[in-house]
Amino acid sequence: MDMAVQRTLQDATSIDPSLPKAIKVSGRDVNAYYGEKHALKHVNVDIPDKGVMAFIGPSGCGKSTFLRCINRMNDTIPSCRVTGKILIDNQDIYRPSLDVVQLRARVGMVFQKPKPFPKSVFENIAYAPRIHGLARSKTDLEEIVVTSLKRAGLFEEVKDRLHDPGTGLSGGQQQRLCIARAISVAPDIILMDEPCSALDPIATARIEELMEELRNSYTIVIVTHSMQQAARVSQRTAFFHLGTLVEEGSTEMIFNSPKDQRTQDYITGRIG
Amino acid sequence: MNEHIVKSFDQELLLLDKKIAQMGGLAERLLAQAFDSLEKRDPKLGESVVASDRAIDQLERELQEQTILMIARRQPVANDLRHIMTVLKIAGDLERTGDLAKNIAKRALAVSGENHPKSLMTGLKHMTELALRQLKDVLDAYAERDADKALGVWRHDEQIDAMYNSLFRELLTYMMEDPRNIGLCTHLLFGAKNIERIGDHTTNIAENVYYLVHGTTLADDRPKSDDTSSTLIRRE
Repeated sequence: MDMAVQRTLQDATSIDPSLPKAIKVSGRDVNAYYGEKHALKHVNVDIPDKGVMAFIGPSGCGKSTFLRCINRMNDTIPSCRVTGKILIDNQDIYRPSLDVVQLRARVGMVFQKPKPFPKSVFENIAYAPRIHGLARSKTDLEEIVVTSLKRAGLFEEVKDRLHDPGTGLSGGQQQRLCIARAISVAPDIILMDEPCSALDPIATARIEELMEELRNSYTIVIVTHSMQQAARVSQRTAFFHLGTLVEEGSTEMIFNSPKDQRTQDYITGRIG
Repeated sequence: MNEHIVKSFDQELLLLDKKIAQMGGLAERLLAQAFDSLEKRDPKLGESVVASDRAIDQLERELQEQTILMIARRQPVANDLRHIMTVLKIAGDLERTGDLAKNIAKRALAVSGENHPKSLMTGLKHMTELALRQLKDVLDAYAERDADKALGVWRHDEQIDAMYNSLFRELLTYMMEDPRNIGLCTHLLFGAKNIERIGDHTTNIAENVYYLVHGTTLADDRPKSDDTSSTLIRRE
C-alpha cells in the first residue's frame, strides 16, 4: 500500500470518535432576552456535523431558547431579542440579507406536540416542497412524499391512507409525519424540541430508532427532559442551567463522569 | 454532596454502604479467626468460621438484589451508577474473601492431628497480618471515598506476593527435608495461596474505589511479584 494512503488510514482510525469532526453550527457569545429577562447568557457552543446533540437542563434553563435561535424561531416572539453570533457552515444566520424562509427549510423543526396541517397525509408532506419549488412534476412530488415517509419510517403504516386526514393518525404516527414533513425539503439540520414528551413508550422507541437512522444524514439537535433519552440517542450532550451552558462534551463523558458539580447534581437528581 | 430530591434514594444508597461495612467487618473477623484456628489447631473455632461465612454469603445476596432493584427503579447515572456498581463488585470480592478464609479454617480440621512446629506458622502469620491490614485499609478507603488510600493498598499488595514467594520456597524446603512434613506443609501452602488470593481481591476493591472516586479506571498494570507458578526447587 502507498505510504501516504496508509498514513491517512492510520490517522483516520486513531481519531477519537467522540471528538467532533466538522462543525455545523457554532454559537458565539449568544444572549437572548425576553423583555428585561436575560434568558440565555453568553453561550458558546459547537454542534458537530451529522449525529445527535442533546440539550438537557431544568425548565427555564434556556435550552429551548437556544434551540429556537438556530432557525430564528425566536423572531416570532415580539419581546425576544438575540445578540451574538450563530454560524451555520460558517455563515452568520442573523445577517440582514438572510432569507429566513430559506433558513427554516435548511433547519427543520419538530415540536413537542405533533401539529400536522389539517390536510391529507400526502398534502402534509407535499406542501413545503411545492412552495419551495423542489418538484418539477407531479411524479417528482410523489417521489418526494414517498421517500420522506419512508425515511421517517411511516410509509408502510400509511401507504393505503395517503389521502386521509393527517390528524387521523395516532400521536406517534403524527410525530413521524411531522418529521417526514421536516425532511421533505432536504434540510441539513433538524431541531427537535421534546419530540417524545407527548408520546407513549412504544411510539417514543420508534422515534428514537428513527433518530438513530437519520443521524447519519442529518445534524439533529434535540431538547429533552428525559436524561435516559439523551443518554440513549445522542453522541454529544450540553447541560444548561440558569441560562448558561454549564458543560458540553461527549454523552458518555457527561453521563459517566461529568466535570462540573452542577451537571452531576442535575443528572443524578439532586438539583432541578 | 447534595441530597437527592427523592430522599429515599439517599437512604437506599446509605443502606448499601452499611451492608458493605458489615460484610467487610465479617470478612476481617473471618480471616483472623481462620488463621487462629489453624495456628491453635482448634477445629471448634474452624467450625464457627465456616458458619459465619454463611452470613457473608447472605449479605452478598441481599446486596445483589438491592442493587439490581435500584438500577431498575432509579436508572442511576454518573457517580450514583458508579456507587451502585462498585457496591455490587465489592460485595463479590468480599464474598470470595470469606470463602477463601473459610477454606483456611477447614484446613484446621485436617491438620489438627499433625505434628506442628511453631516456626512453620510464623510466615503464614505475617502474611495474614498484612492481608488483614490491607483489607482494613481498603474498607476505610471505600468508606472515606479516599482514592489515594486505595492506591496505597493497590501498590502494597506486592508485599504479600513477596511473602508468599518466600513462604513457598520455605515450605518446599521443609517438605524435602522430611517427607512427614508434606501433609501439613501442603495444607499451609494452600492456606498461603488463599491469603495471596485474598490480597488480590483486596486490590480489586482498591481499583473499584479508585473508579468510584475518579470515574476512570487505573490504567497501568499493578506491580506483581508472585512467581511461584514458575518456580521449581531442584535437589542439588
